[in-house]
Amino acid sequence: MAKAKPKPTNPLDEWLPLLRGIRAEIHQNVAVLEVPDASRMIEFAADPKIRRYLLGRLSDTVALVDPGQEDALAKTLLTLGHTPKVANGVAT
Amino acid sequence: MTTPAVPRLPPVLAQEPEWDLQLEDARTDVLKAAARFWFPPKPPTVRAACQAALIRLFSNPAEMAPRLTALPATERAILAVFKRYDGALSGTLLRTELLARSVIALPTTGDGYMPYSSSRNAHYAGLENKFLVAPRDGDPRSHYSYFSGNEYPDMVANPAALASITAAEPAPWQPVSSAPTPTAVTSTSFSEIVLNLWAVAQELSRNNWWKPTRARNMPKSLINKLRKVVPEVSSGPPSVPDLPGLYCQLLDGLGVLISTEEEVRINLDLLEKMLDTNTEALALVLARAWIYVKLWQDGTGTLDDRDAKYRLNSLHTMRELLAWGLGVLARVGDGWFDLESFLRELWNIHQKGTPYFYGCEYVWTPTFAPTQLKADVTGPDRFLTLWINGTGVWCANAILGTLVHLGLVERGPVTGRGPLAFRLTALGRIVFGSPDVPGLLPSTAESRFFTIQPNFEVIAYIDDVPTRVVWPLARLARRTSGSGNPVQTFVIDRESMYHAMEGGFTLNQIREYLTSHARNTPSPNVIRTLEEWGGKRESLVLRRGVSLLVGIDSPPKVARAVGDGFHLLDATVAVPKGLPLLTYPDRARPCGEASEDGVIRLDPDADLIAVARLQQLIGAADVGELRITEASVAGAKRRGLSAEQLLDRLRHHHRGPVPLILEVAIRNWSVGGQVVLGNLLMLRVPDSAIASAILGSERFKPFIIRHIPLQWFVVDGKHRKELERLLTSIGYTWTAEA
Repeated sequence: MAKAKPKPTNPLDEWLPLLRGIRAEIHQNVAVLEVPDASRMIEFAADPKIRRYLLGRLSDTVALVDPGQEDALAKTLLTLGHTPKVANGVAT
Repeated sequence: MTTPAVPRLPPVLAQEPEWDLQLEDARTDVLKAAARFWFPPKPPTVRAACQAALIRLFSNPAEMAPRLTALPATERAILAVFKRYDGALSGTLLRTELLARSVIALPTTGDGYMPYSSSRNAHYAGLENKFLVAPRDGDPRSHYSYFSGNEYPDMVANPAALASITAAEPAPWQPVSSAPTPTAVTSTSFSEIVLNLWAVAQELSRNNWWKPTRARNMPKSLINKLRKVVPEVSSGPPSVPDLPGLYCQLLDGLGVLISTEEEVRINLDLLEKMLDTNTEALALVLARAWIYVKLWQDGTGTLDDRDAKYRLNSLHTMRELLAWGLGVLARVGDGWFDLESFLRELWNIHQKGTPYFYGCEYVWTPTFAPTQLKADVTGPDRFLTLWINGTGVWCANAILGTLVHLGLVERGPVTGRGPLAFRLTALGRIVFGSPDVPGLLPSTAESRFFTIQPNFEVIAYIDDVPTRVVWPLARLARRTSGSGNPVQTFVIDRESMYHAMEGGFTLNQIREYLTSHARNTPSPNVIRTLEEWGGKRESLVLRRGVSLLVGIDSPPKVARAVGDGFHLLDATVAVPKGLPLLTYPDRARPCGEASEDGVIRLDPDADLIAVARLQQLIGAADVGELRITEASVAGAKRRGLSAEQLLDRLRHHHRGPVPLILEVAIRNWSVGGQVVLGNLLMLRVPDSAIASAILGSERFKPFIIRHIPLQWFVVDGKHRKELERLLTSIGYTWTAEA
């Protein structure tokens, strides 16, 4: 009998779990970090200096930032040589 | 063909005219007296009728004009001075103008002291009684009788009256002997001041906010950071003693520092708007900020709140006097002047009424002649000598130190016994000489003022370049040269580009700026790298202050999907109604409870963020029992979360206090913990009287580690044999069990 192929797993699941929005609700004045691709997200999720400010991911390229930690995250990203564009109040 | 009007700046000492008629508070006899002046031959005689008639009159300036000619000449001259200053001026300035014009005169006294004079006798009192001038709100000199009539309150004129008054010509005051042109000149480019101002502002902005000290000063750590961005000038005395302090005070004076009891922040956007103006207007605003700066003493540095409280008025008054005197020099021409003569003449206007500062220390103390106060010198000369060797030193530091640094004055060499020569720069003449001196610098066609090297170094020649052209360079490049040099070097790097773009400088604008103002064509590698840095920034976005919609089937059309069941919405867009709404920063939001062994019971309606926060303590498990374990805490530690951060999150969402033993466990699982667990040797005696006897005994003392009342002792197991011998020696036997 042929062996069933193992289901491919997303390496991000281990580092930064996918959040599940089950109940309808609205969170105002939150922050998200958007990256161009999943590999960049893995890089950030694997770095404890950045990961500590992330609560989980909304998708493979968008992570939810712990409310109140946006300034600290921006400062850390800069210290580590990243140059994030900071968009205030703009979703797109 | 008409010749375009020469632009003129407003007077540097003009104040915001805020006229408030306040007829309701006026005494009836004053109202009736005013009515008799304004409405001859049949004035109203009832209070309400007087008020109504005056309100009507002041709303129609044309009707006032004929009666204004009936004013005494002194009062007309005073109104003309108000007109010259656009309707409002300080009491010091008004009195200075009136003395310099000989409208009023100082009382003649033999001893030099100013005799008391009631404010009712002041020359402006007649205008006040006719509702043509009024003290500015909040000036205590207008309300308290102990102020002398020689000390005028800050005042504002009735704008209706000024409509038909001609502004006074400059005061006919010829102050000083000129000085020979010096062989060496020290001056500062105003562009450099703007670069410094921006560098300080940017550094403050990077700190977001700071908590002022108890004396309302800046914390030392922040001052040290500022010292790195504004290095001291090494041109020798008289230097500005505390450059970061000066720039912070100027920023405060410009209104870009937003202070509360708890914190101070900088409004960088507002400063950008101010800097994006022409050089002359900016210099005027900065000079005004210097005149009314709050915690700054020239030649001394930043003052604390306590010192400033009792010195602030004198400092403002003296700066106003200096600015007024410099205004006279500006109109005289661009020659050199002798500082000491200037100060002596300035003092002579108010004589003993000139502010005097006691007990100050300055970075530079010029030697004015005569330096020693002679016992036989009496009268006004004695006061002048005291003043010039005290406050005069401050004036010297202000003119030859601060104002030279600000690019408004230039000075000759500072020698032991002078002469101390100075003159206003072209910009200084415009600022202090306004509105009589045309408010426009000679235009410089050359706007290409820097060279970009292939290694991203920028060499800029900032002299004579308009500030609005120079300043953007500091937005996109980091200054690497010190102060005091007309040739400044900068370097463009990833961080400086990032900050420029964060400040709203787009990649296109940067490219355009470099192309318009560089003397050379930037090398292709420079342009390519700048584009790469800009592009890199665009790829990583931190969105703040947005709304996250969770599990909403029909979100607003403008919402952007960012994952399965997640949408983002702009902060300005209204969120759908009727759904649980959580706004951050959030207060403590209990939604679960943990037992001592770490089992967590979450409420069924716990929200996404609360669950996500708590899941960081309990690992990824989301089915079955949720439990904080050694492994889950170790996992959180690997993800960068300390025990205290975990506990903060747990407390934030825990109903009631977190079990203390669970807190202990979380700390131990995160950083480890150790206790001593061993066998103890116990001594139990029959009763408390014997326990007291043992406690008081010198022989037992070496063996006892601790007394546990009433009858128990923890004793040192290493000396059991000696203890046994001691017990035997006093007649005890013992058993092993209690």
